[in-house]
Amino acid sequence: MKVLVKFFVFDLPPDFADAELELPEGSVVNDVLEACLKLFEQRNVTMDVNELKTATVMVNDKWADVGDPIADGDTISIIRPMDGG
Amino acid sequence: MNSGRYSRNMPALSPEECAVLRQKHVCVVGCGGLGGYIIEILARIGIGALTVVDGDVFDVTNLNRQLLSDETLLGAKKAEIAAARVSRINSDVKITAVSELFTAQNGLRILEGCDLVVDALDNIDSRQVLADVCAKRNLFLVHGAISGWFGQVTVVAPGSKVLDKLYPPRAKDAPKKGNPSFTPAVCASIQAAEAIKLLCGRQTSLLGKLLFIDLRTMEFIKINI
Repeated sequence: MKVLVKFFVFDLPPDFADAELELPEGSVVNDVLEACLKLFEQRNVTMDVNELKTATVMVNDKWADVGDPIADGDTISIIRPMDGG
Repeated sequence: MNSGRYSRNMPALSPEECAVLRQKHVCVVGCGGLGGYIIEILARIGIGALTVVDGDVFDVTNLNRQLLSDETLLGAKKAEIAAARVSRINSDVKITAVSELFTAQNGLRILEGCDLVVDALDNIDSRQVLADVCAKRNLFLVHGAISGWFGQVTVVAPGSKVLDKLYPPRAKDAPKKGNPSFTPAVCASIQAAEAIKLLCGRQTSLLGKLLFIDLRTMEFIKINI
């Protein structure tokens, strides 16, 4: 299945766009995060893996947990937590 | 009070809205990077009463961004310095300084009599405690947070649990990205604008929305939450 992944407030290169990922049936949110790590490696993006592992996730504009299932056509929003003041 | 004091608020704000603001009481929790600017803006625009809360003192790491800090104030209580500055800026404002950490135990007392709360804290646990106490007081909360070149702002309706969803337990281990001087100023201004809209009875743009600020690309993106 294919899902669209959008990254919010990650310090990514300016030309790094939203990504379409191919994942096996039965995948969950955590599988998307793992696939994103591989995507960053493929695109030579240097990033602390904890930025992804600690991210907040929404699936189709609904809050999601790492164990929640995903489906073909879902839009996954991955948000880097910010807590500074 | 000089009759011209608030003349430059208008016509962006109507005379009636300026009068409304002078009847309102806002609590700003956190007097650091975000809080310093928020308190400054709210004092200058003419909020009737401000309660400013911070249990911390200024240290050298604050000097790069915190408006209320300077080299002569290292070791001074942030809330007390905030209150003193507000009194010098606008003696119309009734100012209360609370030099305590905001907690579940003292929060209800601190927020008594307030009309609106602004989140200018710097850690997830305290933000979630603040949102819980706001829910108990049935108060709206204007949330803002920064990290590196980025910021975020949203308006939290009482009891909506937005901050619990925005910050799942794993978020507490997120890597830090620093807080350069320009980021809190932008984020705080947006929080203050939303606060003023809420107080005036205007429609807020960020209820049910989360605004992301990217100062690298100058993109402002709102998502539904």
